[in-house]
Amino acid sequence: MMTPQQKLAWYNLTVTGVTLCLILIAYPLLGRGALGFLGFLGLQGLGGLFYGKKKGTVTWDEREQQIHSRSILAAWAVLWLYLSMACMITWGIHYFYQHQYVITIDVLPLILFGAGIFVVLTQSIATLVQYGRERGDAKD
Amino acid sequence: MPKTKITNRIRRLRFDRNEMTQQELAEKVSVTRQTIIALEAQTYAPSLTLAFQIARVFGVGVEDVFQDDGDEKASE
Repeated sequence: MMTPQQKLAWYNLTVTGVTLCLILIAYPLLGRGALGFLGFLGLQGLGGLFYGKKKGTVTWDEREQQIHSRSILAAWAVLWLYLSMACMITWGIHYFYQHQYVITIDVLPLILFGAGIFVVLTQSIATLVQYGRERGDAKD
Repeated sequence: MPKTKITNRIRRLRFDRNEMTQQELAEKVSVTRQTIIALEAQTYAPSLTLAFQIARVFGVGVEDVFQDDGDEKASE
């Protein structure tokens, strides 16, 4: 049986994966219009429903908290690495290939969406890896 | 700093207490059953608070439930 945190991690991974697949499939047909599928990422907001309180059931304890904290830490580290790389690469490409010191305005939202995707992916994977590592004998 | 591994006798103690289930123990100490599973699999070291709560459920001292491998090395 999965904890709400595990369910949320799987849910976020699924939503992100499906969204990226839809974009890849639609891109040859719609071009940049396919990026509109990024709106599907908003479905992650429904993840809070996994924490619906069932009477008498404990859904959050110190171990859940520890796993959550470590996952956030991993996501935070990846976020800064991503932002550093994204900024250097984006501006670098524009400078070296177009000899411009500015980037086009439509690149900025994509960088932000990319940051969100990286954070969610890293946090979800880190969460699932920790549960997998701690998986023990489930027998009563 | 040397890393010590905390081991425990929770599984043994549960069976000694009328075969208490993992769920029953989890409810008594307000954690998820997965946490009890992780504790018994020795993959999670509990906080002091949880360790005391578990020991209290079994009516024994903390050191009767939890040991660290440094104890064994020291006694060898």
